[in-house]
Amino acid sequence: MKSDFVHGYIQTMDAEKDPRNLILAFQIARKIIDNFSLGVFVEEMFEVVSCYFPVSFSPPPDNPHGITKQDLVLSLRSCLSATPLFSEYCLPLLLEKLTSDITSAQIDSLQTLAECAPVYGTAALKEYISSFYSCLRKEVVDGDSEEVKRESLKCLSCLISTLSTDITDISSSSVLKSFIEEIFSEYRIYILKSDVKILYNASSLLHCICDANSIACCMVLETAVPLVLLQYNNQTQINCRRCLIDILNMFISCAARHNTEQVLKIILIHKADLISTYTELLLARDKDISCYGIRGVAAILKCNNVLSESEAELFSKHIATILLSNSDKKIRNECVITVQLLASQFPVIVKSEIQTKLIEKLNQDQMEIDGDSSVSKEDLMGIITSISHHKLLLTDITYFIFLQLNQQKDKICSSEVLTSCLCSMVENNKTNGDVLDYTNTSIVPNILQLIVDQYQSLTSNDIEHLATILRISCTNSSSSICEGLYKQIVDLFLHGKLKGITLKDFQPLQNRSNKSQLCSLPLVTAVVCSVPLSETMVNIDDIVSSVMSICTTTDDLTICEYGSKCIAGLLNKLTESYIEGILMDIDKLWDGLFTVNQSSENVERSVILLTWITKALVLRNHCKAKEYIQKLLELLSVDIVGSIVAEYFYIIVTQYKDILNSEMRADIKMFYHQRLFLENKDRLVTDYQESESGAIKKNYLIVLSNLMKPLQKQVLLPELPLLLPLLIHSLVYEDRNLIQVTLTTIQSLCENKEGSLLLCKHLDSVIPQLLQLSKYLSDMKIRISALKCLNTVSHLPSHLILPYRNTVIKSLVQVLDDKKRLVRNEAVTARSKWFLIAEPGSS
Amino acid sequence: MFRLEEITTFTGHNEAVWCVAWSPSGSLLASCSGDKTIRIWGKEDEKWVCKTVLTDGHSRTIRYISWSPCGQYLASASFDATVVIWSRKDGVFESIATLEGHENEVKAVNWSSSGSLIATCSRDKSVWIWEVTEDEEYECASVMSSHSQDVKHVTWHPHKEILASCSYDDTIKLYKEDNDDWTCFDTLTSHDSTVWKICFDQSGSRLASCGDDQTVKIWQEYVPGNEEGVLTKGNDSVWKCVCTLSGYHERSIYDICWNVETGHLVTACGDDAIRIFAEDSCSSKNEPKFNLVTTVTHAHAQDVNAVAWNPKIPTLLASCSDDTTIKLWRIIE
Amino acid sequence: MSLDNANPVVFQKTTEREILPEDEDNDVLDEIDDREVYDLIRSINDPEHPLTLEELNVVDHANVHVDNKKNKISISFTPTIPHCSMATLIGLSIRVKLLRALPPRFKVDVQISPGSHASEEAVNKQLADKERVAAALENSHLLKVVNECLTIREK
Repeated sequence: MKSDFVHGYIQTMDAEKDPRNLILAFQIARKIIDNFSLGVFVEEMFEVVSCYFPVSFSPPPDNPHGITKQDLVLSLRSCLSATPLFSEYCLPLLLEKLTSDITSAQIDSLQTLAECAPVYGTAALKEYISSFYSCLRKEVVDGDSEEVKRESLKCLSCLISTLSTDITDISSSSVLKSFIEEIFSEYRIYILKSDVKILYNASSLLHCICDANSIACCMVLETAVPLVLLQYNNQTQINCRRCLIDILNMFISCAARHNTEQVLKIILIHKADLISTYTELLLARDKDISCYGIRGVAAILKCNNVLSESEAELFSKHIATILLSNSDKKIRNECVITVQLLASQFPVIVKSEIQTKLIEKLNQDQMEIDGDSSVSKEDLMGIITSISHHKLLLTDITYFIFLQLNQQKDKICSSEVLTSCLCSMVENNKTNGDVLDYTNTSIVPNILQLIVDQYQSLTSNDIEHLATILRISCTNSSSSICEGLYKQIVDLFLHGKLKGITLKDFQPLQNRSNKSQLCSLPLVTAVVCSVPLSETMVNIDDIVSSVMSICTTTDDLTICEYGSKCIAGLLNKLTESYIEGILMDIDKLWDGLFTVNQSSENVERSVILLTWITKALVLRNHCKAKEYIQKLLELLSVDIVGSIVAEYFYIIVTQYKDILNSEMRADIKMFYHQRLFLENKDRLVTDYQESESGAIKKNYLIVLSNLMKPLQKQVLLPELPLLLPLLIHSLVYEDRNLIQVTLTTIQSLCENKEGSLLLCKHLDSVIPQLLQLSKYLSDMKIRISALKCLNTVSHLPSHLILPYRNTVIKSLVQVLDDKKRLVRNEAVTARSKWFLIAEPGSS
Repeated sequence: MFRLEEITTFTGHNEAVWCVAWSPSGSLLASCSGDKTIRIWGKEDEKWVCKTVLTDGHSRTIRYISWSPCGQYLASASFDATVVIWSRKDGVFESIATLEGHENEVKAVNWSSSGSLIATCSRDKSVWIWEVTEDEEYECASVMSSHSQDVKHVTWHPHKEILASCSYDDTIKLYKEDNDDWTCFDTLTSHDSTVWKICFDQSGSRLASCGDDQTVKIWQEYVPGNEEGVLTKGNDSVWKCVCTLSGYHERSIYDICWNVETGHLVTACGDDAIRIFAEDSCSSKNEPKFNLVTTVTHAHAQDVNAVAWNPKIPTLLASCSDDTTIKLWRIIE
Repeated sequence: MSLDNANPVVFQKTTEREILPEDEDNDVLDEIDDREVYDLIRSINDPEHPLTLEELNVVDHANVHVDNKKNKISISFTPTIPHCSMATLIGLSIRVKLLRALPPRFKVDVQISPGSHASEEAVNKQLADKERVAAALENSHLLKVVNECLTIREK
């Protein structure tokens, strides 16, 4: 019965043409192959399935059944790779189709071979492997298509994996070993020629084999490393030498990716040669060449425990010399990457051989430095920052930075560079326990002392950097450490006490008239809004009421913003019982805004504070959130206040690093952006349509565009028929943010089929607007965005945009001479695209 | 002070304007362009306006236009390998004939002084002469293939049936009718590169040429038995280069035009400038001397392609350019 | 179409121009310089290889000169082999690219590097003849080839 069934099925399936049935037929065939013995019908089963290979099918225009070519390809492939019994029929078929002229057939064959190889196994592949390889090599070395090249390499990797199964000893003979030897017999010919492109391509085959697994990697490296080294030493042409060293580096990187004992053994055999080659490169005058040397050292460092301390020291010395004498950014970046690797394995050596020398240079007289090279002190600080990834490497530079910050005069560079470097070092190492410890025990206390001593000379950027460090400390440390820090902050800012000693004149939260002290508010925010909420947070209400009264009285909008952020951070987290009372005070503030005759500074202050508070409540989906949002929207139609509310509305949708984020344990409900948009869009559109004043219409558009900004396209699309005309209208307003948001929306619309169809209806107004904005003198970003839009618009169906072709081409002539290069680049791209619309030779 | 003052700018063409031509009465200006149209400009209530646009005549760039001596016809030469004859009746232009025969781009077309002959030239290296019959038919009378390259321009002697052509092969050639056939009787060599344009003076005994070598040359006719003793061959005159103006122009010179009244030479140059040269008072026939009397740098935003003096108002000049505009200028002395 | 030069030597691509802080400052004037013009032409495709003019070393940064004061740009290019039949087409592509991409105030001269081609003078004369260039661009066959050279290939 079973064999009759198989036979019957084969007959039934034969000559089937309907794609719907075929999909099903392939699926059933696979089930039969998996569960029945095919017996004498192996070849028949193979024939009835494989006659469809490679699949050529293009669905009718409207594709009524939703079946794609890819569906058929995949289900057929699943049959071909179902059983090793097919190998003797399938492999010759694949070999034939690999040489097809049709790219899609080639790719299908490559992917099918990749899927079949592990099923068929080494024994079946043995006979064909050379022929397959010669096809793959032809595509990779001489082929034109990047896609075929990519698939060929993937396929090769699968073949190698199959051949490597069950091999443990790399020296004994195997199909894999003789195959790799065969490859090398060709590679030796390529490497002798000076054709850089061919050599790169041929090497990519070997790199691909190396990446397949560590056994294959060993077999390749054994021959490849000495071969490339030898050829490098014999070669005289500079671009060939460069290419060879690049190829060598890639081999070493392959070894590092496996990092097995066997692979590393091969690297160790050639270590002496590699080290002398790289040393020679590091000493080279040619920048490009030394870059390859630096990269090589990085590659070898990634191989575990290959370099000894003395070798690391040697390389460190050379790299320090390069760093100190070279101002080329590219080479410096290469050095930094390599030193980072060195530092993770040899921190002591990096400290003594590199960091110490860099710090010495920092201390040198400016005059002396100008004498020998052009590495600025800012650059040196940057280098030190990026290589300091170990506690050992942090101590000296931190000491140096605080020494500088406490110095009134003759700093080596601005305090902002110093604080930013300090901040980066802490940030780069926030997951490193040792460094975090060091931050808590040494850096943080130093920061608090620094604030007390130097608050007058620190800039707002300095404060921001220092606040970031406190925030990192609070968000990464244990709760006991957080509690301690919270207490220190309360002591210092509320009570004016540091380390138990009462300070005379530092009490920012008490003495609210001292602006330069109030500028340190972000430090308070960083701590009180980051620490986990607990019962032990004493004085929290004192902090809220102090900061509240700062916000409602200060005449400095920056300080008001600092305070508002702090209040928002707390209101977002504190329990209902805590905030109830606060919200009653806030209701009074709202009332104030709705009464007339307020001075505009007062209005602006209240708007900032209330917008932040609204944001805090929206994020946690508090019951008052909707009410507050409605109040803000209501204010939009009020003279003066309306435009201020619109101006600050961005706060509600923007994500901030320094407040109300998940790292700082803020309470953020999912999908709040979508909710906010969907709940309010109808009201905004209606209000917009009903409003008669242009200035007020603009307020609605600004709010609407802000609400749209963070949304995914999928959410926006259904709303666009309603919103797009409004958006296009908004391009006429002189409001940069509004224009920018609209342009970004139009841009993303064009990338979507439905969206671009929608846009097509408005080309008459959009294109002239875009052309005008491409000349928006006061802001190059707008010019660039407008040109990018014009570029995307050129991809719309050509019969729709052809009527605008000449106008666009003519109008953009002027922009070709824009004073900014970045604008010109976009203008060239857009204009070139418009030239090609409906022209011969355009695709 | 001798200078040129810009009177007005005509915009309307969408591509480079290649040529401007005044009607013989001086009341209309015709222009042609890469936008495949001809525009006719004229004055209405003291204001210059575009009176009409001739479309549909050609499928490619219109390179050159020329009015018949009676002013009733306009001929246009195009890169589409044809010449179209337009007839003007009651201010309306109508295409009445298409001259086909050239293998590729026709570069110029001009009417003889009598209006009974038309000459055309092309990149196909040939110069054609067409006869205008009484019932407005146009028949090919002769094809001359003396040039070895692209023929850039052809023009007629102001009174006689003598034709001149210039070419990408760096030479100028003169032709006459000989026993019912047209032959080249003199080849003028002196330019180092393409000769873009040639123009006879009012007397017809002088020829001015200009070209890619950034020079202007003046050629003098010497008739058989001339008093200077210049050798001639048979009954034909010879033409000698008697003056070269170099060092004035910074790029190719595309057009040159001789003022019928004042004898001033004006040039159109690829360096965006218009220059006017006047003959020196101590100049002589055999050694003429010309002085640069004015230069309008940046006359146009791009290459100036053509210049034309108004035939009736000697102080009125028209120019056109790659920048798609046409300008009118007035001489102020 | 058979290839004149079937196995050209491929040269490394220049890295993208670095964007400096002043490039993003709306108040600073960036003059059009050699590198900018070179960037315009280096990505032009060769008419017969799947490679760019830069990869074939047909154009080179050192052979592009911009004079902003005189509004002049001169470019010389080096055909891959001295008898390359594509030299005029390559020159035409460069010319057309610049016609479309540069402000018209510039006068552009495109020439073959001295001594690198058998018909150097003839090719140079053709490329300098704007009437012929204009006519060539109305020839849809030629225009197709030029447009293909100017279409940035997605790699």
